[in-house]
Amino acid sequence: MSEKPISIWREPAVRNYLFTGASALLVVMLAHMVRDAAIGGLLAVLVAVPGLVGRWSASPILFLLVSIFPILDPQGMLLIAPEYMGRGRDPVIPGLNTQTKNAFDITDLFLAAGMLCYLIAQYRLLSLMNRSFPPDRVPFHRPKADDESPKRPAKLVREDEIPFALALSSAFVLGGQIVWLLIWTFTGDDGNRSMFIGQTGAFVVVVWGLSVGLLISATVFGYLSMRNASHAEADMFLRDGVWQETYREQQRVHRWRIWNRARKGQ
Amino acid sequence: MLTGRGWSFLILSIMLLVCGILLLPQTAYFLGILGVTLLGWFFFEWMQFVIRVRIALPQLVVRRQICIENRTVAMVWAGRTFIVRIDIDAPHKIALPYLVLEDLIPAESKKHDGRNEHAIDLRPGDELTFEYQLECPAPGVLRFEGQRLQLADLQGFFYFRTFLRAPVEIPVLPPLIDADGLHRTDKRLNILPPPGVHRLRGPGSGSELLDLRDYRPGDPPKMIAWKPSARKDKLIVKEFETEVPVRCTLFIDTSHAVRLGPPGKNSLSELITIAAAVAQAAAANRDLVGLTMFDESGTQVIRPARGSRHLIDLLHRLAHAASLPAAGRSTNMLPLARLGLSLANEVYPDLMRNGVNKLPWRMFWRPLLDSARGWRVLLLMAMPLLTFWSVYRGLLATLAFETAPSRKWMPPMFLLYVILPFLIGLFFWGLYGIRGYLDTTAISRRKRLAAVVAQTLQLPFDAVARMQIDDEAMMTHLQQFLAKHHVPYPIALYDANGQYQFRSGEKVKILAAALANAVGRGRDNELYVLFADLLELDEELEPLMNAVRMAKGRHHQVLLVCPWLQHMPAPEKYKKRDASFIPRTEDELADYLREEEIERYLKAYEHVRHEFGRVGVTVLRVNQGDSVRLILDRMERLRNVGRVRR
Repeated sequence: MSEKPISIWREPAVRNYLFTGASALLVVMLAHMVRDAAIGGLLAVLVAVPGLVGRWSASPILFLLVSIFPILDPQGMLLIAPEYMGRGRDPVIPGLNTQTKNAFDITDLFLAAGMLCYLIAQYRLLSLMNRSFPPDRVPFHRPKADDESPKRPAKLVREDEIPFALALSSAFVLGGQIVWLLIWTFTGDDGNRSMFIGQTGAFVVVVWGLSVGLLISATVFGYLSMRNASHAEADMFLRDGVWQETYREQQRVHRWRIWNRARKGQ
Repeated sequence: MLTGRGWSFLILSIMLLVCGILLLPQTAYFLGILGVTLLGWFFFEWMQFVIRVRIALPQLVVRRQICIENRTVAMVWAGRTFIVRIDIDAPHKIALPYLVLEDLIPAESKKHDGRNEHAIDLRPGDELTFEYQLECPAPGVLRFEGQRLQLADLQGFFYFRTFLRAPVEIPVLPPLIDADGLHRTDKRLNILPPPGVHRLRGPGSGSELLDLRDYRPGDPPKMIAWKPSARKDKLIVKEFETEVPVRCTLFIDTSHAVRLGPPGKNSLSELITIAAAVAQAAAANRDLVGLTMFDESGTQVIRPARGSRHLIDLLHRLAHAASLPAAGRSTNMLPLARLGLSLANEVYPDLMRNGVNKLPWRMFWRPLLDSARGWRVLLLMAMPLLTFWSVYRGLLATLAFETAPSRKWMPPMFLLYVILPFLIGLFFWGLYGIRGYLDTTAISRRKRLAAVVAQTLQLPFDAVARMQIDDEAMMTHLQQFLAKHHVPYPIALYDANGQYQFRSGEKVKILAAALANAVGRGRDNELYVLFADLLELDEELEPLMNAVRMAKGRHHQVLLVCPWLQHMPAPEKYKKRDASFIPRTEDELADYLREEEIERYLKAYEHVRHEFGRVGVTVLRVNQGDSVRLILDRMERLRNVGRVRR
């Protein structure tokens, strides 16, 4: 863990992630420009750059938050004329309503891919340069060797990591688009074919999908955990079962024993 | 498993998705797409991580080897460095791209070279090896607990810590000494007996002539001294001295009083280092060495013998004795619990998790009836039954009549007065029970720790419940738990009544019995070396003095080696303070008390010296010059006793 401080310009792995993140930001910027949201895009990029260069750990979260704004209001009209907010169902300010009504847009794909690539690169850079996992509590029973932040050593970065991450992000963006299309196909405005209609329907479908996914995963992994339990864990499980069933009675008995001991001691 | 970074990302992704779905589906499809994409990626990373944790990690094989000069060994020597080699095999088909493995170093050892912690990228079928160098300065036993594993994903969203327990105990034998260097080099006699033997003035088959006597039928013809026979005109035979080996028996005090202090730096460790040096030097001289270890409860005896196997056995026993932990009745559980919790969290994270060590909410409820005063509340709640008693009923009716605002309020008021004691009792019942929920942290920690201790020590099934409420049981088992893992823990020297806990007259009786037993088994002049802490045991020394007198009466040699506290000055270097000094400040008072303690200690030592000096026993301190050389010199004197007496 006592790796030498990584120089951002010297480590090839760090440099590669840095260039990947910067390229992704460029794509994000261009996509925002295509969506007539150059200022918002620039703002998001400006928030992201300190994260890449200066290891600012809040950068990716702020980037996501700042990116929402140009998506909702590409020309920043709400900032310029906030008094128009909430007037009727159709905003009168031109620009707010310029988004496509179509669920598929190639610009969206590029923007999502760029954002995901940036996030992957940024988080991996933070693992390499800041901290890869939370530090443990200092043990009382032995001296702690050092309290250095646990970083992932740059030598562990594989050559195929970045290409794999790029392929993965493309796949997930495509998958996300497909899932979104499916959701809106089954629950969209013209979705009389489905019992779940509109926003509520989409929400229910998403929540249901996530819940079922989590339930199945938790069951499978819980089973695997029990199956791979060590002898000590199995013993502990049984002991804990006995304790849960009988601890009140046992404690009552032991209170009497303590009382008896105290009486004898007196 | 989720880190702060992971939580923030997950919450933001869910927020984006919810925004995409509920708030602006018409104007911002992109938010939904982005939300689904980010959540999908996050879910994929989580799946990957969980598969690594649940499937790949349990299959990881880590082996440890202790090597000296490229040979694997089962024991090491104090003061010498050795290599710890860690081999890691990944038999599974799942890669672990970021794993931090730390081999826990025993507390008693010192790291010299290399690193015991490595961040690795483990691919399927990989075999990795790393080494580091350790040294253990004092004899004892080194306990290697196992390896701490920290697994994280590449983004830092997930983190899992576990421990591969593979406890191994390696004996650290006392340091090897150059036995020849410890013997005196000046020549005292012209004819020295062969090493390992000394002459005894009794008829035997030695080489030195003892006497001449008349021939008795049955004497071998080769013993006939022909010249004296011719002179005296009758058969005279020669008698030779007997030759017997020198025997040395070491009596080592392993009582709790000498075990106090950090391992390797306590009195027992010093005694054992000297005893081991004596044993090695004597064995190198082909003398017979025996060992008797005693404490408050009994003795362990190894009969005097010679040979390398015997010596190694002896050193093993000494090493194990050096690692014995001190135990006493603790008076404060907090430091023990903190140490125990820290150890359990580090070495037993799998047994501390909620899946196998549960904390049901009902456990925090404090049952009122289990308390000594619970019956009062029960009595209060049973008061409505008194309504069947006409006097009480009349009293309540009168009260209801006087307090009701109108006639129609009388029945409800009467009913309220009837059930009011029950309601008050119920309130107190709830108030008492709910107090347990105010400090759930302490209760949960104690339960989890008790469960781990019970499992580790294989205690009966009721031990967890017992340790939850019985402080004494908890402290006793915590001491055992910490001692098992070689973690030093604080011990109260004085009990609740202010008495020194480790003053043991019993061990003196046991030592006296062991010495008398050894004298009874002794064949000729032997050397008995007592390594014992006998200071401040003035009244209990009598049985031992009797045994020593018996040994001296049979011409055996006895030596006493006393342990010496490190912070105590040597008697010859100590300058007595001014008797008229009166402390006036806090610092002066502290100095005064320390001086008092030193004087009391030195006085006790002088007393022991005086008592043993009266029966001709030399008393040494462990830090007094070269005590090993002195003991060997005494053995040399035994060897030459025949020559000296002539």
